[in-house]
Amino acid sequence: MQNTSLFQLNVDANVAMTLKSAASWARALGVLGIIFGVLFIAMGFLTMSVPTTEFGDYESYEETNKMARSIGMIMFIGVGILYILGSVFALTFGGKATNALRSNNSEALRSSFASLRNYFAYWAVLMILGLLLMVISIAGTAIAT
Amino acid sequence: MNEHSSGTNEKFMEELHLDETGKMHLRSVASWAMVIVVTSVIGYLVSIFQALNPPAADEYAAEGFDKVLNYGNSIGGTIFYVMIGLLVNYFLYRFAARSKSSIDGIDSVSLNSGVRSLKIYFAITSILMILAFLLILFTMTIFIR
Repeated sequence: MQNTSLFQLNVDANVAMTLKSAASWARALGVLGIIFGVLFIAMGFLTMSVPTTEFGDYESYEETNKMARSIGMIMFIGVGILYILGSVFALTFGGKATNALRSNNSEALRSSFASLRNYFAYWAVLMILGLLLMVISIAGTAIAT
Repeated sequence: MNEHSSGTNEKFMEELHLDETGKMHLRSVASWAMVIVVTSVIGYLVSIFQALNPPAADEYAAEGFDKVLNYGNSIGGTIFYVMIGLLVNYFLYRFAARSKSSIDGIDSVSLNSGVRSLKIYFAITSILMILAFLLILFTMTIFIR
């Protein structure tokens, strides 16, 4: 038992206090992210409610405008859903870490770090995809010109 | 007060710890955080490249808008965005680096420093989200009017 504890990383009072504060901010970030996501979805629906003449006065552009608005709505709703999903991981980490510190439960602490890993992995994958899209669009523009 | 504080400390020393699985989760968190930092830095470099090499204005010339439309990013705006991004990612990098070193050296002081950086990262991100939220609300108000 003594040997095992030598290789364990102890969470002392200082670490616990800092982690508690980090968990509070993570929960705040989670709540804000969910609000942000809902706002994005609302903006998506708002895009569809705007009259077509707001985008252009020519009647011949009406079909193009409708398509542009639909694409805009899908993009806004997509981004909103992605934000909500990511924020749920932050919220889960915050909740689990707070509970672990409150109950001095190492198992719950371990689980909170697993949630934090999911949060970072989720955003990392999205960021890599975003970067790839950015590079493809630049390459596309360069080839087209 | 001191006795109480040292008692709490001992309680944490005895009860809250990260075993091999917990350390594995934390190491994984640090790795994903590092992936985010690297991806972000590459993204910033691409943004700077785009800002320094804007597409020619006449590429976007459209009917009725002869050679006046330009959708390129402004250099000032890009520098501002990159500076804020680098600041946020600096704390994420510190969290990843300190957490890894705390696992390797079984060092609670490094862990505390890493978690403090994570707290600052979450705090800055939350504040930036609040600002973005206010900006979106402001834009939506104008849009609805």
